[in-house]
Amino acid sequence: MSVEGTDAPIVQRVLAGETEAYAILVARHRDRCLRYARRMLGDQDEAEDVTQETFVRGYRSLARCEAPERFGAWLFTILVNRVRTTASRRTTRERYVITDHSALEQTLAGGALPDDMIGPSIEEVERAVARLDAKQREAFILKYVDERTYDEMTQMTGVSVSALKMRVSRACDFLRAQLEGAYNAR
Amino acid sequence: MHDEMNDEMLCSIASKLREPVTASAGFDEWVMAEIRAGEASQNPVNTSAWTRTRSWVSRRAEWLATGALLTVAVVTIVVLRMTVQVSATPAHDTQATSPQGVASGTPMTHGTSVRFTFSAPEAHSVTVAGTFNGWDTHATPLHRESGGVWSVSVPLDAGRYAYMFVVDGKRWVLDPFAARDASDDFGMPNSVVMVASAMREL
Repeated sequence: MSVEGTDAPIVQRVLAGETEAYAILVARHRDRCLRYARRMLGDQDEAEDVTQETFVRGYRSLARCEAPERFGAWLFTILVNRVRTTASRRTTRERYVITDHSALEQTLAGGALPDDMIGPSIEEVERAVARLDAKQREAFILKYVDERTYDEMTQMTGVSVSALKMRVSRACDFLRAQLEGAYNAR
Repeated sequence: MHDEMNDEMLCSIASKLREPVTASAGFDEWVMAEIRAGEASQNPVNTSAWTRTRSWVSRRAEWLATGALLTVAVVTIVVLRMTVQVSATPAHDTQATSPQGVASGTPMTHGTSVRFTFSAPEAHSVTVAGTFNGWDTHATPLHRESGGVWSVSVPLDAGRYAYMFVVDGKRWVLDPFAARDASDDFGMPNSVVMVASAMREL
């Protein structure tokens, strides 16, 4: 049984009045939702705020979740829209900074990078992702980070499969161009 | 494997982005505390909604399929004054507005009856579901009047309410004469009605 398939009885318990059972759904879907928000927004605090807000909204709208076995996908639809709203309200301030201080110190000291740091750092990748067009970023992350199918993506975003494929393709071209130097340098 | 992922570089990029992101301590507790705090006014328990068979996925298609129906839809919201009195002290009138709201001015001392009407001569049933009834598609049925017009009066306190009409229990239809909320969680707009106190003495 898939993880989402096991959600239905939990959703039923919550709808029947067992509020505390919702904590099971939060624990089950937290990491995936948070990762999406973080990759989209590039800011941990903002990502946590949006993800928490999504869970609260999900609870308050739970009566509208008419396919409880697909609670996870339903919740993700809320998340996608909350992330869009948050991103649209942003100022232009820089959100991508190097937060991995050990990696930064090593870089500044000219020391050897760990074996698992082949290619660009996660910060470099995040910065490149941040420079993507917002629609392309959404499509790319849903497809290759969250590993959704195009049908799922269409349901979550309201965008056609063909348009999503185009966005993903353009995002890949952009990221290749942005990060090619980092790969060649290492 | 998709073409893009045959590219070693893109595989590496995606792999880095798939690394887990850890939530701060207390993340879950904050969510549950927020839910408990708002539970009294935002209870999702709704057994009638639970029994609905329409899936949220199919709602998009049904929503689009109602375009023809919209061409004959005539919807108005009529404000009826003071049909619900919750205070013994007569003080203020209230009104509902659509599409533009009027800022709330005074504490709510009276209810306002908002009348929803919808023209659907061929429909077998019409209900209105929204934030005022927990999106319950059964809680607020409209009653058929002459000429295929359906209507219902709903007592509402001052505030902002999102809603949609539900035709024959499955087709979700926007109110073409009301404002639309572009930030709906499900990627589709809802109709919106604002009920505001007009600060006018009786």
